[in-house]
Amino acid sequence: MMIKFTLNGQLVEVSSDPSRRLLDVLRQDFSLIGVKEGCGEGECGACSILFNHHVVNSCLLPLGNVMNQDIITIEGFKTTARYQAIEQAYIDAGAVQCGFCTPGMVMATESLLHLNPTPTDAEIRIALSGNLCRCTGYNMIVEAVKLASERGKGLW
Amino acid sequence: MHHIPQTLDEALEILNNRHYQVIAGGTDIMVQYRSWSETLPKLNKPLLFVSQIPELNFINESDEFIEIGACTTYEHLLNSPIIPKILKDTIIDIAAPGIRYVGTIGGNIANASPAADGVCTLIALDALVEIVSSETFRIEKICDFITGVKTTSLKPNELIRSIRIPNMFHEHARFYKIGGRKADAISKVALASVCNVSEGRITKWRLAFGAVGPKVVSLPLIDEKMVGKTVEELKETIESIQATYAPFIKPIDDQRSTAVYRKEVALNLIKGFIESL
Repeated sequence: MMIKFTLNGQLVEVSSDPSRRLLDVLRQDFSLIGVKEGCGEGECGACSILFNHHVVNSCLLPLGNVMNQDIITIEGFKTTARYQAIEQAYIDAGAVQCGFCTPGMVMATESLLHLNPTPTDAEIRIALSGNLCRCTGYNMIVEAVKLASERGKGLW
Repeated sequence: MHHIPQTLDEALEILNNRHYQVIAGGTDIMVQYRSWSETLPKLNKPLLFVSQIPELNFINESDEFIEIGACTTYEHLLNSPIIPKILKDTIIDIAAPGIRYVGTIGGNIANASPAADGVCTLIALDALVEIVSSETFRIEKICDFITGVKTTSLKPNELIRSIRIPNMFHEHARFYKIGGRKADAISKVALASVCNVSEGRITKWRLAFGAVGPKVVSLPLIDEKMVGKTVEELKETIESIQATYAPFIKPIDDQRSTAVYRKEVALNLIKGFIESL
């Protein structure tokens, strides 16, 4: 079946089975390997992408549900000023260790700040609650989101 | 052959031809049928995609009901001013933002998990399910619609069109969830509890327990016995109230918890709710 959607700002068409996971379509058909597979069942958030600018687990999204929708991956997001602010904040807060969860964490961060540019600690923890990190213990990531929010005034 | 219909009529027409697995947000189905990484899910029926059908995406309010289209997502409900607080409190405890953005209320009901938090609260609120096919229309209480573990009264040619919640104010309405962590946890035990008091006496009392039986445990005949009592009487007879519910709370051991733990906690939640009044 032919499925059209917007991927990182460009209209794309994929001729494929609509039951395929968006995660596989992004990695196999578009070589967007910043989208990681961790658990494959919606628990870890490593495969997070922006679906109509809201964080969603791409391992749970069948291609059929993406028809005519807007998808942004870490590769599309990294060209933006918002990404630059988030990246520098993650570096400065020591929020990246092995890096496997980082693309998903960045997607969840953007999804939060887009809706709520000045979140509280509790709001940050809820926003990141679908993303697991095996290295940092989370406090540095929460710090990074706060730092991005403070430094990025006007970006969101 | 999978289908992505654009309208409700088209979807119902397709359902008349053969059996489909209806898929809304996909957050349960994509896990249930998942196969190896980079391969297609192992389905036994073709998929009918309904999440983008406009007639299934709405929230309406009348004097009588709050009506929610079956494919309305949990995130959408959280942002609506007309959704009752207890349902929002429940939704906040379901999954995480990325799943709530695509997971739907109709999907949660049709999936009929005994541990479905949303179903628990909808039963405590006496919600109704509106079911349509190309020729028929029926309304069923949600507690009757769900018939057992993962089973419902939905026929192969039917879809859930909407969920109707009686539009009433509840003085005390609380959702309690016990899970392994705050986010992304499937309940070990859950309780949705609703109580109204007028002139010191209980006028409405509803408890619905999740994850302690093959379906959400709802006991209207026992609930009815609390009506007419004073809050003080309830507080003085907590143990006997727990004993009235106890025989009907029959949990099992599974990967998430044990029967003994679940039963004790379910009874403690009754106590917690009564003490909070």
